[in-house]
Amino acid sequence: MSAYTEPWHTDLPDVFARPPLEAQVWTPKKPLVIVPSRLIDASAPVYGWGEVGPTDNDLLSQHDGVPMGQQIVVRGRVTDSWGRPARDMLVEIWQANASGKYVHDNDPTPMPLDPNFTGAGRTLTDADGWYSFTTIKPGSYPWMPHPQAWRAEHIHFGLTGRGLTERYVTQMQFPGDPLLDQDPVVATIPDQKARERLLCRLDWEAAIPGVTLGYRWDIVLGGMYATPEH
Amino acid sequence: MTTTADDPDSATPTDQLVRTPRTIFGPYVTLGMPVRSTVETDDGRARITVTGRVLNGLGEPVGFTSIESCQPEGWTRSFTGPDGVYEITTVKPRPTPGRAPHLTFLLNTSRMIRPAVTCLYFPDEDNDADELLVRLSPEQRATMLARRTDKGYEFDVHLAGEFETTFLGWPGLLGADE
Repeated sequence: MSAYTEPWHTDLPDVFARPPLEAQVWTPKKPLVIVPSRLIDASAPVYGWGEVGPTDNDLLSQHDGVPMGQQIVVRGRVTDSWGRPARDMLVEIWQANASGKYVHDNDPTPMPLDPNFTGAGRTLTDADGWYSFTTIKPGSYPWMPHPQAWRAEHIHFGLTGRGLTERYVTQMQFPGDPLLDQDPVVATIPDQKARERLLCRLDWEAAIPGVTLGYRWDIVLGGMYATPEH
Repeated sequence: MTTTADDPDSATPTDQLVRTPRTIFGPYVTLGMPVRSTVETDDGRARITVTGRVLNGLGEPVGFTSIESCQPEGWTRSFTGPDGVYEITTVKPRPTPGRAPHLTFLLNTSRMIRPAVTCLYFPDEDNDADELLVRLSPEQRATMLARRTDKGYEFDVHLAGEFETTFLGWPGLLGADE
């Protein structure tokens, strides 16, 4: 088992930080006050399962037209550390469009929005832990002010469900992306094996022949998130 | 114990897969999080409004942050605007054994890997015997106390700095054996 432990927040590497006090102002500096878990009555807020529609995982069909960009299918399994499926997990994604632009007021980049693409989707894992999304490949985008703080292509994933005390947020990256080694977010993960876990791989079985490429990305949540055995 | 399988499909119960690391929420986390509420408000209790700001260590507003407020009656999700201001409409929670009425806040900000968790307590309730508050110093308790205003309650969250809010964890939260 990996000895890697994660912090609960992170500051970007200094080279990407905004002066003057980046690390001091955006994240808490005092240690967490640890209390018995029974005193934290915050179950992860989730959508009702019944509210996930059958096409919510198709980001190509949320508008009148088809979004621009490379159409892809992303699928994979959500498991615990022993490969046992995490079923009925709510899997939510959010991503930039093909130009690297988010439908979000906080996005300062000059790239164009796509009227046919929102960039948010959700689905539930099936009995074997499988999820699937049809979307477009997101573009890279700059994270100013550092001129080389470009984000590698990525899709954010948030998972909620049984056994999770709060949303499990991670992200999928694409193999062969020249920005991978420079990505300021990836750089905050010190463990190489863990970083490799963020990479999907080309998967012809997931592809729609003649239409989309397919990628497979499995998510390993760790031991305690295993779906209870029945 | 150290065997690592690359493909969960081929994993046997003795294989240990490398866990997918959590990553920061990023500045666009709210894109996939609709504002909504599940709090039941049809039991005659009056609605209350809680407003406040999320501030960084310089006292500057932190916009585009989601605040998920949990209570026995349900939860609400709201966002801060560019001015750092959020507003929640809900009902005041009832006290439970050992606990004063409170709202548990989960904040999802750009640099978080896990939500920042804190509690909001009400200044017009008896908070002295609350099982969580009794574990805190007076200074820590003070950061969790809302102010009463004409319109309801006001509660600022300071992510860092001199007035940093007290954030909560639980045993095993950051352990490697999850």
